[in-house]
Amino acid sequence: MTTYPHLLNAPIEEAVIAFSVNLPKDFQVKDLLSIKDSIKEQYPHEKEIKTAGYKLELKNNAFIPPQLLDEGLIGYLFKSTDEKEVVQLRLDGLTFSRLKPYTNWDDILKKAKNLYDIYISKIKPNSVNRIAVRYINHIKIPKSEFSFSDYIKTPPTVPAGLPQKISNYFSRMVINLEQDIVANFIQAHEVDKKDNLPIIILDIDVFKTKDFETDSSEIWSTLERFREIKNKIFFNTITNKTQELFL
Amino acid sequence: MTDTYYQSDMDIPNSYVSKGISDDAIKISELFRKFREKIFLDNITLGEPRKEALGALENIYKECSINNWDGYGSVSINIHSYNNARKLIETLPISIPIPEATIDPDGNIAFEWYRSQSKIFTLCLEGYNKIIFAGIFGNKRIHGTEDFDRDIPDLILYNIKRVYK
Repeated sequence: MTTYPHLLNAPIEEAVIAFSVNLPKDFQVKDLLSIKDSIKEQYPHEKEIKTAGYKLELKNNAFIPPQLLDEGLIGYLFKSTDEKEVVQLRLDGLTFSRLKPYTNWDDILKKAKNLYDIYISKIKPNSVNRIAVRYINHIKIPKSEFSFSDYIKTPPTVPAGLPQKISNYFSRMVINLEQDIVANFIQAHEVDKKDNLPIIILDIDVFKTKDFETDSSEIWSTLERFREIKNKIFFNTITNKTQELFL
Repeated sequence: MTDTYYQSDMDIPNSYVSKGISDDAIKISELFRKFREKIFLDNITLGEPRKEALGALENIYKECSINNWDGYGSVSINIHSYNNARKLIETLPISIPIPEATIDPDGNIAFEWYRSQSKIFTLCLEGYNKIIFAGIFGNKRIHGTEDFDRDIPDLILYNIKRVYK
């Protein structure tokens, strides 16, 4: 296993471990609340999750601004007292998020595993059909004039002969890895409106779609593999100069 | 009273369901939605068929959003079915024709790809995320159910393409 430098102030805005499941046919969204008593001590703040669609309407052959459509209850969200940890129980699965400041992989995996065990015992899904690890990194560049290549090894390129100033940038690639593991890798850039400093977001979502037995140890070994992959993507994307910002 | 948190399945389709809740996760969703609107909707070649299909779907939504919309006791449009129909229209590969949506008396949206009486594939979007499908390919008849959680399932795309082979 490759080792990477430990970043004391890692720019991780959010770390997510997610499990999508197949629920029994007669399962109702309210049944998700059977977990509530088991987690309310650690995650006392509850919200309903409603799915929202954007209704696009045509008028005179042009779309009017999208309207938010409330499409009903699909789950519940529970937050820890400090609101840094969030559990989402939805009709399509369980998601655990750690918001900044990041702790460490062992900590979030342990918490996700604890929640998963409760989820499996209470909800009894038929199987797990997708597992994922997503890390969203928020890199604030300390000066407004900068060159992408100083900070990331895969910079956007403006054609020669044009002004080289980029104000917004969004790129998404889907990388097919070994054993049907897939990584969605998004790079986005914009300027922070508060201080006018540039931000580069590196959003790495590594996942595998497969029917796992709910007690399969493969789930946990695969998540460990996801961690290695997301580290590889991250550290092979940032430059030494970027690393130094977070040491 | 419980607070409500709104989440959209439409923002980032195609396998992007590790749902984050941080500001950056929401920002990424928003950027993706704007990007998709620009590329696929504000564009004649790529966008026009989708625009037309969405317009037709919109008309169904308006006409069928109350019970008994047909005078024969039909159920109003199922909002999940409607939303999944939009997702289907927006995420179908550009090489696949987008048929006009129809609605059944239970309020579910259906699509049919028809080439001849021996090459037909039809699907109905039911409930929260179910795709009920059936097809005729020569002497062979198929039917089944798939989940529509993120991508259009491979089996569905495969059968739509069979209509045009």
